[in-house]
Amino acid sequence: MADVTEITQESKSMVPARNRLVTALNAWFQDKILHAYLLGIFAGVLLERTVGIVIARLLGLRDLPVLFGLLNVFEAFGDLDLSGILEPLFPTTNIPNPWQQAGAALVDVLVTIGSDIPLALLTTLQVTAYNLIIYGVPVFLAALVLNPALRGVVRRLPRAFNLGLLVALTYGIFWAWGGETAYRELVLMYLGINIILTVSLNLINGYMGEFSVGHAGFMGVGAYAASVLTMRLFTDSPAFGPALLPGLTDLPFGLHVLIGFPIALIAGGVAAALTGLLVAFPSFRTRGDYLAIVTLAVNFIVQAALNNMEIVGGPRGLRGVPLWSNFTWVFVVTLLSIFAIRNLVNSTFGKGIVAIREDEIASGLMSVNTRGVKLVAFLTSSFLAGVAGGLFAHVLAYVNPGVFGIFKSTEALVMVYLGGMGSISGSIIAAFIFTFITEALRPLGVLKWVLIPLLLILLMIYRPQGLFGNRELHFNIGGREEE
Amino acid sequence: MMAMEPLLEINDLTHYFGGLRAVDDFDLTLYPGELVGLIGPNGAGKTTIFNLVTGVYTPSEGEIIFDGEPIAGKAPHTITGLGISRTFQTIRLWDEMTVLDNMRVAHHGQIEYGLIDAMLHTGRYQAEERRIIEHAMELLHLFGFERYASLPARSLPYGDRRRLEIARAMATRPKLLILDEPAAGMNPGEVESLMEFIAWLREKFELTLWLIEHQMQLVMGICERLTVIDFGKTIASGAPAEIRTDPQVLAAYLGE
Repeated sequence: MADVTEITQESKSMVPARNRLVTALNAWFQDKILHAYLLGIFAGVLLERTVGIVIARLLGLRDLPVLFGLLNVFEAFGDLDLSGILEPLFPTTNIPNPWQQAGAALVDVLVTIGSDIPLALLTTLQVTAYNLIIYGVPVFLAALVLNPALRGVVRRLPRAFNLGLLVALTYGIFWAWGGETAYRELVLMYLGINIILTVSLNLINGYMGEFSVGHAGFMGVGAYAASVLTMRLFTDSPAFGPALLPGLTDLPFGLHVLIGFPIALIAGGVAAALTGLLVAFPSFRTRGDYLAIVTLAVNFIVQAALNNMEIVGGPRGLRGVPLWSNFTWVFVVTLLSIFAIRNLVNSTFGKGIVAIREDEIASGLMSVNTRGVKLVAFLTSSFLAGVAGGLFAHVLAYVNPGVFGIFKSTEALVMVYLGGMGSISGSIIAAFIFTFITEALRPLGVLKWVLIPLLLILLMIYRPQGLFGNRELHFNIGGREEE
Repeated sequence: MMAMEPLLEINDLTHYFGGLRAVDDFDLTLYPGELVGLIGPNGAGKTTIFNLVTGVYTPSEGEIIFDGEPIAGKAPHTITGLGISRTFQTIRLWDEMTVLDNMRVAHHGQIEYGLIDAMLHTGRYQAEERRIIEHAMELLHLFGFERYASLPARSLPYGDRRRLEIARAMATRPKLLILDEPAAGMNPGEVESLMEFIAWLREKFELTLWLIEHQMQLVMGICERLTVIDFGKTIASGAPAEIRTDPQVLAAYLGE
């Protein structure tokens, strides 16, 4: 029977495994050790910290480009005023002919855009040149010079040591880059939080094949739970009265943060995971579109509950959360989250999650405890969303229910689908792109919420599988495999 | 043989789909090492019986005792854990997963590490994963799939997919293997080698086998006993030679 040649025709509904982008990137990264690239970037960052402003001025830029010049380019369009165009839809005053006025406003906007384009083009040229000089040249040189120099050494080092080295190097890069301005550090913290949100949502939407659209709900529960805990224990607040453990704040080296913050984050995660049960139990009986509606409902329930709990400030939100998050905290927690999810989905246990996506009935019959696996997947995903929420609250020092609504959930969805369902490296790259683009679009104000959905529409038409599909990037990190 | 404890005992198994009595007072006793067939016209309720025994459906009435333990109404993974595994009428591999991963996941019921072990790659996790992968590779080697371990399951040709499904079922370490139309879509030559394959499987793993099949060449060739059902009712049971000439069976297959 082995000579049966009939090949079954498979439907094309699944994510195609082949992905030219990933193949090309992997070929590129296999060619040279990752150390060389990272050292190149590190050199670039150091170059920017020392002579960046000089080079920026020489190129005719006013200041150091904060986010690789993305902000500078969009700032050119900063004075767009769209309110006139929308006037007929939302009339504020009694105008005799609103449509005529809207037409005039549209012409105004077009003229402004037209007149801004030369400036935008010039700025684009300037920041491109800046990025090439500051980052491009060092990375190119490092790849060229350091790769042959370090390759032999790196190959002989143990793999675990190499991994540690690369993590330290990555931390160094972010630390040096983010240390330039407080704004950059803030963006990096948003980046870490977005990565945790994306990777954890990918576990459900990518690996398990369900469609969760209420991820921000879990983030909200985590944010509030962690905030209430830290405020109650360590701060005097009008909401909860004097701190329960005021003595601890006198400990040297901020030891109370070192003890209190992980506990608060875990508490936030646990609270979010318990909320995740609201989705996990229905998932035993229903799936697909119906479960998606359940996740949406849970998001709204969370928001409504927070809005109506006077003890946490209701719709006004909770003020006075201690500002405990910093880049290091976010970096460490993000790294742990990525590793936990990566290890989970590569384990035999975690592959049961994918098996449920592929064929739930066959999974049960092949000894997969489908309910148990679903429970673990939903709890893990919502736990991490809760931890991200805890970090978020301690970045902003203020939480309010409005933040954790469908908009935030949609952002997480956009990142998952941009990166590719079932790809962790895709999720991380997508979080990078999305975080930087949303920051860069800030000068455009309301237009941002036109451009981001537009991006999603284009993505769904031209690259529905996302950037990486279900493939992962593999880097050449050297080192021998340890037993 | 009759002195042995039965491996599987089904008494008065009845199942309704709404008002339809899909399975009607079905009885069967399987002894260890037997190879028994279940036949009947399309829609007679054969697959429903398999689904009741493996836990896909909960029986409306009746009892199912496997290895001395009542299993009616238990969850599929629990029943599989006790030692019943199966294949499907239409192939149900996890198509987008690799051949090796298909084998690995079928070890799910045997995993002895916890979630935290998996996330942190503890020593226990590594030892357990090594054991699972070794067992999976051993089976793949035995079934001749070693070379395809890293290919997606969908990329294998039809006949190989059928055999991979059996290999995957073997990964759960069953005592009883249930095959739902293993020869579907095969020509007489292929059926011939499938028969050899089933005989080898039974010998190698000391299995008890229970199968549904329409290909009479296979049923008459290898089954020691047959049960024939029609409209959910058992209409005959006995050795293949007796069944072949049973007037009720002929009527069911050929019409009155």
